Amino acid sequence: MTTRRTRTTATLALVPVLALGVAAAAHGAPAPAAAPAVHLPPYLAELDLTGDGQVTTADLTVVADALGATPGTDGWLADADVDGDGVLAVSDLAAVSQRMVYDDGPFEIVEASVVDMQAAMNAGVTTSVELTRAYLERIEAYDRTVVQPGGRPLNSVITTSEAALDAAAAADAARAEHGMTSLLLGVPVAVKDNVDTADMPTTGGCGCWADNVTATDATLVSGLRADGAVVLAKASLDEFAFGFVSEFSTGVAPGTSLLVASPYATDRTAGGSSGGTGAAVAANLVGLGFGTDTGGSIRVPSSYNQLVGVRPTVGLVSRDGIIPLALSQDTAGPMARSVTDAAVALDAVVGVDPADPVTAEQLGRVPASYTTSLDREALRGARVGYVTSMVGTNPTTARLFAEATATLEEVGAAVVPVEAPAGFAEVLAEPSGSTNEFRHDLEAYVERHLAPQVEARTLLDIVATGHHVPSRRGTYESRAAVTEETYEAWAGPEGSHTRALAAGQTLVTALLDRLELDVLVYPTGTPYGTQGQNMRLSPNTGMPAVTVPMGQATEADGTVPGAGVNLELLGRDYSEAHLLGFAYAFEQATQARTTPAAYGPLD
Amino acid sequence: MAVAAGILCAAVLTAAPAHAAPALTVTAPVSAQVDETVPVTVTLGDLTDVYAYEVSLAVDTDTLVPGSVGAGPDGGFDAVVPTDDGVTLVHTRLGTSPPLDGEVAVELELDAVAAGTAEIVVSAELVAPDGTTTSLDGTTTVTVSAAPTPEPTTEPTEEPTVEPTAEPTAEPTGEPGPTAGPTSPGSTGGAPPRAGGGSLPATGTSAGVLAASAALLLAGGGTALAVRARRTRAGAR
Repeated sequence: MTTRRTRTTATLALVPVLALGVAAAAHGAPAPAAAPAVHLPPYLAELDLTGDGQVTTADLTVVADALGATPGTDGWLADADVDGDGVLAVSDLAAVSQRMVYDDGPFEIVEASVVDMQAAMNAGVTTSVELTRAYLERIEAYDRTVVQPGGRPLNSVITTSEAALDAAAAADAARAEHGMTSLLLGVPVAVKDNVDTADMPTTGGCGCWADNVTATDATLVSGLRADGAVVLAKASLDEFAFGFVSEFSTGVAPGTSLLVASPYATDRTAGGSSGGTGAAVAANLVGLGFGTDTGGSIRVPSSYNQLVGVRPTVGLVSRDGIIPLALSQDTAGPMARSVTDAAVALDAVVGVDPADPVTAEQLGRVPASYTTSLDREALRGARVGYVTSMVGTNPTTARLFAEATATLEEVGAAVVPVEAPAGFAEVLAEPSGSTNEFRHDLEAYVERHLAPQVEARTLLDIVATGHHVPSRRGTYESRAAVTEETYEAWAGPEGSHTRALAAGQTLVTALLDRLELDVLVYPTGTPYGTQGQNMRLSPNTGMPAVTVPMGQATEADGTVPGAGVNLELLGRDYSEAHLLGFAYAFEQATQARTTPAAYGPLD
Repeated sequence: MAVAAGILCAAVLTAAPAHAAPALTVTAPVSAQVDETVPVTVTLGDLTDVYAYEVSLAVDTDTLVPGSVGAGPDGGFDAVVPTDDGVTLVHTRLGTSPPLDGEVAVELELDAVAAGTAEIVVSAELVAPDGTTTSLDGTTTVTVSAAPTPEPTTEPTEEPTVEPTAEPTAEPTGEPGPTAGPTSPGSTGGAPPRAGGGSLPATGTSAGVLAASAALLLAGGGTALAVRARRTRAGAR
């Protein structure tokens, strides 16, 4: 039927047809109201017709008002002609509608992404309070329980917040009043227990600091709360964030410690030092999480737990309010089940913070949102290099890396093998700053943030309590003995470590420039292990890295069947947007992450 | 208004679905009188994975004019677009919500404005989540006759033939009994009276849906509406 249509939009009510022009309504569920501009991935935002950054029923009304229009006729909307056939039809309305963040179907919390959560909350299928309760129930049921014969409890969470349900209720109220203001609105998150939270102790994994309830949140946590996230839990870690096994002493008797287990094989480690975040996110005990990384502490547990991890450029995320290990290399970043989740989380925590002066470098180098780079075609035409010596010989790692480079080529990238340039080995060999910087940097944290009721205020005080991971006594004592002169010679403006990191940044950037590479890739590790000194490339250059699952070990590999291994992408300073775009394209092509089978839905 | 008539339709597929072909049925009374409301039910049956649909109805507007239409299936977006010769109803699911399966019955009303025989022509387009479309169509005919001229009634008597008694003749009983048995689940017995008074062919619409329609009627300011829509089964993703 072809007839002229009158285009006068009205709010739908059940009224006689002849009294109307076009009437439209969403019904049966609480549709999102007009909301302030929100940053969404391009796929979800690109058909926005009303300028608020998202598709809502207001956009559908615009399309409905134009149904039947053709180019040159009144009401034609070229952007809404999704199928490009020159007529605005119901199929175009459907195509626009599909970009709404909305889902009134059954909601499953296991493997739910932040977009899934928002869609369910927008449809009224669930609420932030219900999500928060559900995660708390999963923590209660799973975290300190042995679920695999011969295995260990995850031990991934040190503290849960008593304020979380109130925060969730506030997020629900905000959604009711303003709609979806952020993709983090109402999403329960965990932060590593070296990140200050005013509503939960920040112990650094040490029983000696069990009373450290700080007066303020870390800047990172403030960013999360400002975006409406529900800070649900503090995640376990290697005590004071050094190590790759996540051994901690908080909550246990002096002289003892606990280890975090991998949810994929609970007789194995979740990695470290952000292993609690890794295990909790992988086992779906929280929506997403944050770790810190000085020499691999985000990327190692991300690889072990089949997560996406972001080690940002030093300077992108404020470290103020985070217990330091070595500020020359300390960073904080998201650990998530998808690249999209990681990008959304990163958006919340970037920004210049006078309390961490290095963040001033980011001015003019940060996009409005990292989600805008999430493009399936991001790798098409990209030049991806890899240093051949970084691949190694582990059968699983070598196989998966070969498959990954083949995938990169399939999605349009040019993969370029690169011989390590002169000086590259020295870059990887530069030691961690933790040995010479820990005492110095910790003292600054103690002075500025440590709660006054905490009695152990120096490394020697900590040793004196006896309430720390027993095997670390000698390390604490030796680091307590590092003098200011040693520190300055190492990490001062002209210190050897400072110069080495700058040289590393110069060398690797020059390598990228000379070969016109967009990114370097390499395996993050091996099944439950590290690969050579690969973890040192990012911290020893200060350049950002994103790690993303590339597959699992098989029986034929002869390693650890089922164990995940990640691909790492490293780029120029402040190139996180490109890295996340590349990681997204790779993730969409591979979908390599698996769900830990032992931590399924609760009955 | 007389007996219900049902006619139905053919499916023209632009993309072959893997399931039984969907069907469109148009149901309306075969006859009506001027000034009556003619209820029309458009039933989309055997639906599988329908994300959106458009139903267009065309009539001879010298005889029948569109009256009222109403909500589509729960949880979606609906639009009503008046046309020169009828009305188009559009419905879409939202976001990643599950598509519709089973049957959707959309009801609307036409006002009989003049005597004559009017064909009701209905076409529909179904849109799957992947954008493929299926076209359906159907027709039915309604004969509208002039309203009968009222006959004069017998003159009333001047006085009542029985005087009322001064007092009630019996005390009320202690416990009033029900005046009717409960309606069975799914029956239409609990539904509010429908404007227009036409007989509606059975569609299996639940009492709950009718109750919802009644609420919408009130929300609509009491305009003469009787619109029902239902989603008989929502598929899980």
